[in-house]
Amino acid sequence: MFEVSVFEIMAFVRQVSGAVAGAAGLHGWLLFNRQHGKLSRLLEPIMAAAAVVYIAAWLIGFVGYSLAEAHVGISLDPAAADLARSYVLQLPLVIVLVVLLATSRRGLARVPKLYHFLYFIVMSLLISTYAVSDNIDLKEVSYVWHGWHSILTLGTVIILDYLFFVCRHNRKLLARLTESFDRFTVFILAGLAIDIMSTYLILGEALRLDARFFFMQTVIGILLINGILLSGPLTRRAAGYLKKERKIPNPLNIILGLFGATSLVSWNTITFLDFVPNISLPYMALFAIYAAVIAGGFIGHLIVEGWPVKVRA
Amino acid sequence: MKSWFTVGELIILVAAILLLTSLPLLAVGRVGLWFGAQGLYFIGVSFVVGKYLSRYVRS
Repeated sequence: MFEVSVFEIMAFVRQVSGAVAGAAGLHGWLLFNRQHGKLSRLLEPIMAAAAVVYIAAWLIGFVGYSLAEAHVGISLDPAAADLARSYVLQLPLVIVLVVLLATSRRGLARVPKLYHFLYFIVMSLLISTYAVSDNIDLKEVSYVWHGWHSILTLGTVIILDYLFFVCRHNRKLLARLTESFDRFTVFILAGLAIDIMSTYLILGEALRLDARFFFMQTVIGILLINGILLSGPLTRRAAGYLKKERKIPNPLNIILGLFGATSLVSWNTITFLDFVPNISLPYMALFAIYAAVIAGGFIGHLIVEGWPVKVRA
Repeated sequence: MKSWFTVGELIILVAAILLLTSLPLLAVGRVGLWFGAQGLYFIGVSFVVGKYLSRYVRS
């Protein structure tokens, strides 16, 4: 039922942290203007933290793969060989990332826009080369798109949630963030389109109509309905209140929390199942776990908001 | 009265509902609706991205 290896977990951690660092670089770079400069500044800690997590997960994977090849002598199947090849290619990029991280304090203070941009470029290259095929073919293009889209989707969703979290007591910043919500939505929707296109490149070999596939398609359907309602009518309504410098009413706040939790959990679920493929639970079991995690995320949101005891800062 | 959804959002919403509806059909080997839903999604995304870009260029 579960055949999860440490390498798969590390690949998942790398993908999430890489997506977050890349998205923080991208949005920090794009938001760095007079109007949104403060939001851009808020992204610096999460960008650096995600880069540290990425480097740690990368090192564990790198050492693990070297040991597996040298001592056990296992013959890696093609997909594993593609993953192993990527570690060799990524080594110089990881060194560049370490240098970037080591010089971040000064760099972000002096040339913040450039540093955000550099993070975005380096993370884009790293995340797109999570697997390297032995020749440039449709499979390789699919790997690149499939890796990179996470910056636009998963990374952007986490960054957005993070920004809402750190701005939650500052109505002015919250208003700015809500105003630029459609920008984030455009990136997320375009990212999903890139992911779908990357699937078509390898459709023949990738299309397996099993429980995992149907579950992932269900999550994508839920994700889209949830995303459109959240970024459309709900956010516009919240923006209306914030524009008039009024507090968002409690019921709307709770609904926003539920939709936010669904979005965050759904993107993480899709990425997890992508990078940890050997989970063969039945459809209903997968769905029950997914619903439970959303419920957990939502309760977490309520607790952050001061439930059950109302203690708001 | 201001509408709840933009054209692009509405198309994506319909595409998502079609995607979910197509799954039982996909299970019995009928892939038409599933591909159709994805095509519709691309049209919806084009509308959303186009609208955003036109507003961005104008500002």
